[in-house]
Amino acid sequence: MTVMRCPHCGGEVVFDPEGQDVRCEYCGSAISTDDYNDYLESKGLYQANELVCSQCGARIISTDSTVATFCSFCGSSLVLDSHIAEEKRPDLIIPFKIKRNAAVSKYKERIGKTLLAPDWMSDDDNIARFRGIYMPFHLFRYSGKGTYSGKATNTRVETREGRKYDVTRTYLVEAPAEIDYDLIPADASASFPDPMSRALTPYRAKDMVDFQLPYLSGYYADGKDVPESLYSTKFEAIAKNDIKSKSAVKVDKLSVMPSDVLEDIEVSESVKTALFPAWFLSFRNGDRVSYAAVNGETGELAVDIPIDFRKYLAASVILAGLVSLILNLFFTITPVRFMTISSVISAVVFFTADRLLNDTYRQDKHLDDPGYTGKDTDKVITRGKGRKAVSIAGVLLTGAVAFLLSLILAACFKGYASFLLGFIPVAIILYIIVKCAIEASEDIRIRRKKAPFYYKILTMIKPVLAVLACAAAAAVDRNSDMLCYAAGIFSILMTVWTALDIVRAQNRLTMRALPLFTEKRGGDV
Amino acid sequence: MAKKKKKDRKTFIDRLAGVSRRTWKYVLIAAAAVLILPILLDIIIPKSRFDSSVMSPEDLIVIRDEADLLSEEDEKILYEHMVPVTRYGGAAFYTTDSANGSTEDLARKRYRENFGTKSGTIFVIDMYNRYIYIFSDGRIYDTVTKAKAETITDNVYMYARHGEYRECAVRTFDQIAAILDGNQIPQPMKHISNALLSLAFSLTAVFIAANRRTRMQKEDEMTAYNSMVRRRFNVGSLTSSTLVETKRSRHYESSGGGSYSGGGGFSGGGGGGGGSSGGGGGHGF
Ligand SMILES: [Zn+2]
Ligand SMILES: [Zn+2]
Repeated sequence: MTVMRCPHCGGEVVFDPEGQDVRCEYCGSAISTDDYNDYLESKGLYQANELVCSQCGARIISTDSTVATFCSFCGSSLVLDSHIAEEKRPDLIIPFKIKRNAAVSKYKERIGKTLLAPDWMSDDDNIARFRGIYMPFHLFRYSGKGTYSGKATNTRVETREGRKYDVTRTYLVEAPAEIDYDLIPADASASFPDPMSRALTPYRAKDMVDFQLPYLSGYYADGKDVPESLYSTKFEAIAKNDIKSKSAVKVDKLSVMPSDVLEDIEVSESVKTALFPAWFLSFRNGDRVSYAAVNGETGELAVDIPIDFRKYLAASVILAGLVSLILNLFFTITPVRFMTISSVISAVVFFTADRLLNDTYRQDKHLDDPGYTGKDTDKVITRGKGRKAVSIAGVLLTGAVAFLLSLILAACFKGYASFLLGFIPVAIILYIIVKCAIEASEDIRIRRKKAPFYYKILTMIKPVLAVLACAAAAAVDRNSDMLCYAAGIFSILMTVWTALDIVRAQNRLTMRALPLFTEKRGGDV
Repeated sequence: MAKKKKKDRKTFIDRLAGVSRRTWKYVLIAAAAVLILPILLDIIIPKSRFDSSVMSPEDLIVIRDEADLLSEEDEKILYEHMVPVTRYGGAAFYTTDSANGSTEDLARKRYRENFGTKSGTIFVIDMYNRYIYIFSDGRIYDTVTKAKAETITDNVYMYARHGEYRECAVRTFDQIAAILDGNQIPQPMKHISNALLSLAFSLTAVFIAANRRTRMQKEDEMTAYNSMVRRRFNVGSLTSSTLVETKRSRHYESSGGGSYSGGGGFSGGGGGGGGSSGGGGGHGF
């Protein structure tokens, strides 16, 4: 057992975030980390206690002698296999700056503000499982020095025969050049879900110090198990894009393009390992698990809060009572209005479901977690700046076409009962057609990351049927109350069904599938 | 000040979340009662009809033929056809041939004059706009909805076009009475649809409201990248440079400076007396 003992009394020592030093729990003496590290190094203590979870395979490193009774990543309470292992010293570390109490109260505050949070999330026994864990990161560096020999330009205005000209002179130049892009972080832990470590970022480079073992006392560290090779091509491309996107630099009054320099200079990659601090909590719920974490440096909270189904229904019934009271008192809901409002709600539900189901699909397939699958699904992030504008234009255009189509429809069915009744189904169907067309034209690598048709159809078809039923009823005979009521009730039932589907989907997102040891994970050697 | 406000709101939400289980239960039961009670009441209590015993048909029937479309005889016949409607509320017939704005506004105005906000229906023949209109309110409107009114006017406008105004009015009130007697909207359906609508709305609204900040905000990979990355890009002093290419293009200024104002007063042939030294204050374009 590698227990860190006090040089003075032999008691156990713990790293103290407030004083940024090592404190003895027995005699109270404070020792600077430098001194303590020297003391440890003189004793040759580079080993740590490695705990391996038999349920999910997570490796946790601890320098304490206390026996861990649960796994932070899957919430399992199975006895962890514990053995002493030689751990490679990380190069850098951001020590904990946020104390446990601060992290816990931050968490409690958020849960307290969330009305529909399940009770077990505020259960003190559960909260007691908050653990300080250092997350391993790869820090990539792309650097190179050399001689740039290439083009440089100079543009200025010259006057000749009373006329002004832009004169651009191109030179072939030689100059010493240096590129150094350092500290590019990539999640190195397979146990920490990538989306979670991404939710905890950013960490700040200014708090980073050279690694010393004492920083670990009283905390855990997650074993590094995603090889840097998984990310290197991606981050190399990101760094290169970053360099290329820089505007021209001035050298001796000449402009040199960074992209030209990049082509000319040999850039090599190097990797360091760093530990970033996080307060981490997991809740086991059947075969699902949900996480909460607090950035140990900045105090940023990342938490997935599932919806408590009973609270959700209760809150909905209460609101429904209120709305129903208002409807009964102040409004006359004719059958046509009934169908119209129902269609509007269906449309809202349709688009909510569309968005959520894409997310559940991505999570089910671990598409956002290359560290989990061991596959880097998105090699390069190249986000066209115009993309958002294009999609907004697309939505507007689709809406306009739907508007025109429904005007034509309205003209066909003389005196259409309500414009929305026709517009909504036309717009939704047009949206589906346009989206399918766009997806069919996309690159297979992008398409694979989106939820396919069959994945969504069972949920999405319901609101579509709902709005179609209402429109059809209005078109056939808007004066038949029975027909309109039947269509409206059918539509409402479909919408309620979809709403329940959506809550289930939301809870699938907030409670992830239990990580299993048998699943393929990146970097297991 | 702003800080204090924020704190207040927090405590309110905290208090809301901390309401005891029992209180929740009572609120829940009350809400469920509001949803279900109207439906039950409709089913249990037999429908009470409009109490026409208080008012005689004379008070409930109004005929004002300002455009003089009907004869005395016609009006008597029409009166008989309006009586059935009075079981549900007032019935008014109104004609006009002067400009009064839209027929709809006119109908609404005349209705309020006669029946206020009580249950009733009015049929207007507007000779000025050549338009017929049915306006209803209260209990009658529950049955004779806008859609129904449009259907009825659709059925009878041909009579008005051919000048058969009595036939037009008689058929209108007959159809209104038929719809009211058939009472096609069963009261329970109204309350069931209200309850269902409220429920669907609430399920959606509560989800959308509760869904805020319940999922980790996945930062863009680039946020993490940009927060940490240390960039250094240096090109030192040139060690050699050779001119290889020179390109010229007309220079276009972005701001319009120095435009010469049209070189005025250049007098045709006459020998140039000083002054105008070749105008043409051109501007690059
Ligand atoms: Zn001691
Ligand atoms: Zn585990």
